[in-house]
Amino acid sequence: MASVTDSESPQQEQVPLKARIVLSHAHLQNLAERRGIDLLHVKGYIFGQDTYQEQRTSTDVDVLIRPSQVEAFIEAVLEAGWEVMTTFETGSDFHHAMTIYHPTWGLADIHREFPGLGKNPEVTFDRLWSQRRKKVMGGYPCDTTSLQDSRLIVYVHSARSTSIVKPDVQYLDELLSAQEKEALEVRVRELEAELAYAAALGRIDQYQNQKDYLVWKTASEKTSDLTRWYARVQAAPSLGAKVQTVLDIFRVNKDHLAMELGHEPSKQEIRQKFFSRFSKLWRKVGK
Amino acid sequence: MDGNKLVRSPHTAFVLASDYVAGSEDSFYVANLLTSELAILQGPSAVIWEILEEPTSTHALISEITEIYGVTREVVSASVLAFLDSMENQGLIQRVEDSQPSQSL
Repeated sequence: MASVTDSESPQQEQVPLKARIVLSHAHLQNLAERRGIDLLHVKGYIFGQDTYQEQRTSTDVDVLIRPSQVEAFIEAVLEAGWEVMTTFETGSDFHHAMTIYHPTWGLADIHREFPGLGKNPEVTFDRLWSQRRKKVMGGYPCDTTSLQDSRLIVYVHSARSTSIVKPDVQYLDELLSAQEKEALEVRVRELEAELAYAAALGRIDQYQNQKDYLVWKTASEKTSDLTRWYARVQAAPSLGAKVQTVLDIFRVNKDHLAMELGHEPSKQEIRQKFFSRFSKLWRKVGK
Repeated sequence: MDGNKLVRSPHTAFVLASDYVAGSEDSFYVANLLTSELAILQGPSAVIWEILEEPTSTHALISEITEIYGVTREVVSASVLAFLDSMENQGLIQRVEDSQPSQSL
């Protein structure tokens, strides 16, 4: 018989990343429960094969937090030893998520809203929350979206990929019956996800008269940077927001540059990045 | 330790190592969700982790180990007790009130 003291405090690398990601779902759920915060795990390993194809891998955990509780959750993760990699402002064009890192658990994205679902994040969260289900991750029950909402989230998320091949969409298109697709389209309307859903399916041109048409056109198809920037400015809700968007376009995203370079960017590297925006714009305009 | 039962802490999560690494059939990766510390439980340690899914007295736990491995109490008692202390110190298991009479095996 082997010794019963065969337990180790391992280096994190001894536990495979996939196992740590699964356990990370449990950690974040536990953290939210202890603070009374409503959290929904979305995408990744929690969705499973009724939503994603079997061989699909994930590199992080995504959680959608009740918008009014986002600040409290950020406070909780920082106290638990997570570090901020990108903020909501620097995370993406949609300013919807921030990336955090923990030496044990790896990367996680905190979403304060999900682009493409509704105009009011608090209302959207309530609609998703009201149909949530529990799925066990690492022996720990975690809150996630209903099966139908999970599939819808995969479609809507794929709308932010400009690749002509969208494997997650193809998989669901083949998996779902005509009846399931019909029911899903009802839910698309309930969650005000028509544009993003159409963009995922390559049908965004049906919505050319909608205000956010260009946003989803440029998010889901390859277009020039100039068109993408124009779409962002056009979709900004006020004059102030439009000015801010223009400034954001030209401001160097130091968080992303740091992740790209693998180190904190120097002043010289920031300057180079800043001027590269202008030369790119000049080339487009000069064409 | 007698008089109390031991059980997995509710602030833990675990996965079967063999789901991730071939040839690790007798191991669990266990996480303390409060401290973000991980442990690898192998062999008899993994068996103890399985048993402690339900509140179990130390006496009953040692009896089960002796039965599984075909050894006497004297052979395993000291190391099992040391291991339980270590798991408790790491926050992986906890004591619970012994509300029901412990099974004497």
